[in-house]
Amino acid sequence: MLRIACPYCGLRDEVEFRFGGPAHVARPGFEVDDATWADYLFVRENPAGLNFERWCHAYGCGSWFNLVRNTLTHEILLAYRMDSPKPALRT
Amino acid sequence: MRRGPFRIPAGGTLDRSRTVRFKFDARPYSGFAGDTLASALLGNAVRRVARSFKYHRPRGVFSSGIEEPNALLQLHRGARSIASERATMVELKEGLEAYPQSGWPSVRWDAARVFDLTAPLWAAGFYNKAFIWPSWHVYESLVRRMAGLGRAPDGADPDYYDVRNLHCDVLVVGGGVAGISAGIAAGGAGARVLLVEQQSALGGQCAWDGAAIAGRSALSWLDTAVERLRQLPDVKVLTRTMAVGHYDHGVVSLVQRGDDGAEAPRETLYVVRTGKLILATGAIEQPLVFCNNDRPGIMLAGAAREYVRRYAVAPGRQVLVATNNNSAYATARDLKDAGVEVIGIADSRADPSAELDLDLRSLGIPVFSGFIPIDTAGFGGLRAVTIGKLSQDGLAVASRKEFACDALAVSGGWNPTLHLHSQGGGNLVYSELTGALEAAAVRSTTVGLVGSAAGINRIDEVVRHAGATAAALAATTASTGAVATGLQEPAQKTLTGAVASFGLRISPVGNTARKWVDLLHDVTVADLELAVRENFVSVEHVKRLTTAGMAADQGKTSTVLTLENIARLRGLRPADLGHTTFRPPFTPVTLGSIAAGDVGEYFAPRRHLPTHAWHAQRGAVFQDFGEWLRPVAYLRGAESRAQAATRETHAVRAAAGVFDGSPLGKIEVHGPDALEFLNKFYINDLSTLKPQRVRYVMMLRESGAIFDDGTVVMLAPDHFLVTTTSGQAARVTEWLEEWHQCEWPQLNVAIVPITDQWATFSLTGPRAREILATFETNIDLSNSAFPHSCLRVGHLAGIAARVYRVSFSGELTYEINVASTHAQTFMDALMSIGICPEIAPFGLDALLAMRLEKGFLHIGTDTDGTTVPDDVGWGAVAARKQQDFIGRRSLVLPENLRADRLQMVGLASLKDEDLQPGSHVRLPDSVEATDGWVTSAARGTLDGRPIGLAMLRAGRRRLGTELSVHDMGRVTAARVVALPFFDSTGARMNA
Repeated sequence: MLRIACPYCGLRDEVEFRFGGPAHVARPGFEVDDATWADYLFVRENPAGLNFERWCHAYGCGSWFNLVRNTLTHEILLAYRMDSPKPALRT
Repeated sequence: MRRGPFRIPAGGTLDRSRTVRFKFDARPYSGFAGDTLASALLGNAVRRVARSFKYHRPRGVFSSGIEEPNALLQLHRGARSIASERATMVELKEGLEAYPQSGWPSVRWDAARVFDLTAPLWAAGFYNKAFIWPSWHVYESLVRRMAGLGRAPDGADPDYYDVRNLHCDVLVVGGGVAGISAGIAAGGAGARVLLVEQQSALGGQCAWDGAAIAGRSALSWLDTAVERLRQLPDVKVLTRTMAVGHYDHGVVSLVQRGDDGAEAPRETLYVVRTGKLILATGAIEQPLVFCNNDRPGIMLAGAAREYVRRYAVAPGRQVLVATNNNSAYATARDLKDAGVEVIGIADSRADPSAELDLDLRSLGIPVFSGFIPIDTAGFGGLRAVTIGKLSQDGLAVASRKEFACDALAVSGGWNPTLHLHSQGGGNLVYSELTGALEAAAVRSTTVGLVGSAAGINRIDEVVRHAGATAAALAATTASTGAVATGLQEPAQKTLTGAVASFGLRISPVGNTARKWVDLLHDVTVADLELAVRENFVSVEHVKRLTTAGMAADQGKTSTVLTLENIARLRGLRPADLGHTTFRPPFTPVTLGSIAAGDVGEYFAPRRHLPTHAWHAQRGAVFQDFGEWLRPVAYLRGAESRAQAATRETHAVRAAAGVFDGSPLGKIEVHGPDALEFLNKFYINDLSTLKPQRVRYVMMLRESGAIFDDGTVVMLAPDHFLVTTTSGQAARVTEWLEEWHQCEWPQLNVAIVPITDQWATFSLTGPRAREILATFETNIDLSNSAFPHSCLRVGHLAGIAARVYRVSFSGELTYEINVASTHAQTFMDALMSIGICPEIAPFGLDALLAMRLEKGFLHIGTDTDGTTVPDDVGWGAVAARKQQDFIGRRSLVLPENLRADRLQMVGLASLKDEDLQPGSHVRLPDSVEATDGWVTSAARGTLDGRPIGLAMLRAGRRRLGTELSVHDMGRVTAARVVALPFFDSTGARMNA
C-alpha cells in the first residue's frame, strides 16, 4: 500500500485515493483528425521510471492533484496541485 | 499418561511445577508449562506425527521454529478447528487437542504408504501427464480427497478478530539480542519505537543458550535490557506477534496471536506505518541432502540443541551429528553435557580442527572428518545411518561406516531470514562463502539489518552493531543518511553459530529419487533433474513444475538447496541463477485476521431508505441495489413476487401507486457559470432551457458511449438541479468534480450532492392529481398550470417540497422531493388520505415492467460501454447541438457512424414464453453468428403478452421482421415491433 502526500491533507494511505490516469494530457479540439482523437482516447505512455499521473483524494478532501511516481520502485517524488505547471524533472 | 524416556530429568527453562495435559491423535499425554506442542510430543517419545504430502512416508519433528516442514497438525475440532499449525510454534495449553492431518487408518500405520513404494509414478508434474483418459472427472473426487493437508472448520467461526493501525518512527522486527539492542538504541535516541517478537517473551536464543554478553550471563543482560526498554518513554513491545509482510513506503503488516482462551481477539492484524525498519530476524538452519534424509528422528542440529537446553528433551537415545560447518559442535557438546549418548560428529570438511577454536579431544566425542551421511535405514523411524568418506574432489565416496542410532542432528549452514527485506525490494545474492542468500545493497536508506540476519554472529559484536545501526537510522531523515549494510563480518573462528567455513552439503552418491530437498511438498533431487531435463531452466519454472518451495513453509529449509541443485545440474554457479521472488505473507495468515469485523452483516455497508420500516411493514421484499436495500415488490397474503408485481402494475394503471425513489441521484449546481459548465456534459443544448422546465438529458463518456441519463432543471440562472440514475449518483458527482478541477477550473461553479438529503416519492397513476389535491398546498396542480416536464417548488401539508412532473412508468406522475428527515411525516400524511382506492406501494419489478412497455431507456441494462446516442434514437439531438460537450468528437468517428450498428428495438414474442435477457437474436437472412441480443424483458402489464427490448443490427430498418431468439440451446421466435408498446401518444403521462 502506497502512502501518498495529498497537497492539502498531507500523508495518507493509498486506499483513500483513486488513480486518475496520466497527467498533463491536453484535450484536443473538435477539428483534429480521427487518428489524433483516437490517440487522445486510447494511447498512453507507459514509462519504466518516472510517471506523471493524476490522483483524486476521493475518501478525503475530494481534491484532484498530480504526482510523480517511479513505476519501478513506487517511490513518489513529488505531489503538486492541479493548477501548478508540470515540474521539470530529469526523467 | 506417559512422560517418556526422552525428557531429561534436570535443566531447561520450563516450569516443571505446572503439568499441562493434552491429547494427540486422541491419546492423552502431559508436558510442562513452557513446552511447545512439538517439545511435549518429543518428550513423550512420539516420533511419527505426520505422513508426507505425496509419498505418505512417516515424518517427525524436524525443527524448533517457524521453518517446520513436517509437524503440521490439526488443532481443535469443530468450528474452532485450524489446519496445518506448526507444532513447533504452538504453546502447550491445558486441554489442547491435536490431530495428524494425514495417514489412514492412522499416522503410525498408513495404507497410502503404497505411494512411496510406487514412487516413480508420482514424479514432479505427474498430474500434468495423467488423469486424462477417459476424463478428469473420473479421478477428480478421489484426487481431491487425497490431496491437500488438513480440514476446514465445520461451522461459523465463533472467535473474533481485530484489525488495528499503528504508526512509529522505527519498527524493529525480532526480539532477540540484536532486536533488543536496536530497540534500546532507537528509543534512547528519542524515536517512537515498536518492537515485535514472535514468541511469548523477549530474548530469543540467549534465554537458553548459556552465552555470555559483555562478561555477564545472557539472562542477566536480558533482565537489564528488558527493564531498560520498559523505562524508555516511547517504546512499545508486542509479543506473540509475527511481521508477515513488508510493502511500499514503510507499510508492514503484523499478526498477533491472542492468548488462547482469554477474553481477547483470537488474532489481531496490525497495519504499521513506519519511518524506518530494522530486521533482527535471525537465520534459519539448512539441512544436508542425502538418501532417505527425511526419516523421523532426523532433525536440524540447532533445533536439537534448543530441545535439550530449553525444553530438556533429548532428540533420541543415541544421537549422531552430521555437519558441514562449526555450529553443530555446540549441539554435540550440549547433548553430551545433558547425558545423551553422542555417537560422533561427521563433518564433511577435510580438516575441521583448523576451523574450530577448541581442542577436539576435549570434547570427548569422535569426529569423522571428511564424512557426509549417505543413507539411513528404518521403515517407521530412524534406526541406522551410513556415512561415507568423501573423495578428494567430493564427487565420490571412498569408504563407509554404519552406526545404529535413533536420532541424527544435521547442519548444512545458516541462511539469514531476509524475506521482509526482499519483499520491500531489497536484492539477495548467493554467497559462495556461506552457501546462503544474503542481502545485496539495501535498496532504501530506511531498512537496516542486524544480528545474524546481517551475518553477524559473535554476540558482543551483535550488541554493538545493532545499537550503532539503530542509532544511526533513528537519527536520519528518510531521504538522507547512512545506508545500513548487509554482510559485514569476515569469517570467524568460533564454536557457536558462526559459519567459519563451509563444506559440502549434498551427498554425491545414491538414488536421487530418495534425496529430499523440500520435505513439505515431498520434492526430491530427482524431481529437479526431471525439470532440468525437460528444459524448465529458470528457477521460477523449476519451482512451479516441481512445486519445490511452494508449500506452507515457502521453502524456508529448501530454497537455497534447490538453487544449488539446479545450478549443479545446469553447470552454472548459483549466484548466476538469481532466485525466486519472496512474497507476503512470510508465514501463513488466517482469513479471519484479514477480515476482522467485516463479516456477516458488516461485510458491506447497507443503505436504508429513509422510510425503510414503513416498507417492511407492508411486506416489502428487499434486494441490494448498489448498497441500497430497495423493495422489488410488496407481498400480500400468499402472493409470489411475480403475482405481487402484476397486482401492483394493475393498481397503478387503474388508480394510483407510490414508489420510493430516494436513491435517485440529486445534485445541485450553483454559480454564475453553472449553465456553461453543465452544457459541457450533455448531448442536449441547455441554453434553451426555460426556468422550471425539466429537460431529459443524456451524458456521454469521451468515447461517445452513454454514461448516464437524468434530468436538468433551472431554478435560477445560477441555480440548477441535476438528477442522475440511482446507481450512478456518486459517479456522476465525481465526474463533474473531475472535469471542473482538472479541465475547466476557471468556471465559477459549486457542485453540491444532495442525494441523501432529499427523499423522493413518485405518486403515480390516473388518480394521482386527485390524491395530491387533497393536500394543503400552495402549488397549482391543474394540468394547464403544472404541465408534464415541469418543476414546482412549494409545500405540501406544511412540508417544503420540490415536485417534478416526470414519468418513468408512463403514467401521470408527481415525483415529490422532501427533506429526508421529513420523509416519514410526508408518507404518513399521504397514506392517511381517506379516499378510495388505497394508494398501492409498488416496487422495482412493477416499475421496470411499466417503463419497458413505454420503451424508456434503462442505462446499463439496455446500453453498454459501446452504445452511442444514435443507437437508442437520440442521435439527432446530439447532432443538433453546436457547443462542445464531452464525447462530441467521438460521435463522428467512422465506427460510431456505421450503418449496421446495433440499435434499440422492441420485440414481441411469438410464443407465450418469456423472452430471456441475454438471449441472442438472428435475422432470417443473417450471415453472422449473432445479430444482437435481448436486453430486457417483461410481460405487458395489461394484456400479459411477453415483450422485450433488444439491440439489433440496423434494427430501425427491420420493423416487422421475425427473428429467431437463442437462449442456452433453446430457440424461440419474436417480431420486431415499434416502440412504445403502450400509450403511444403519451396521453396518460401528459394528462
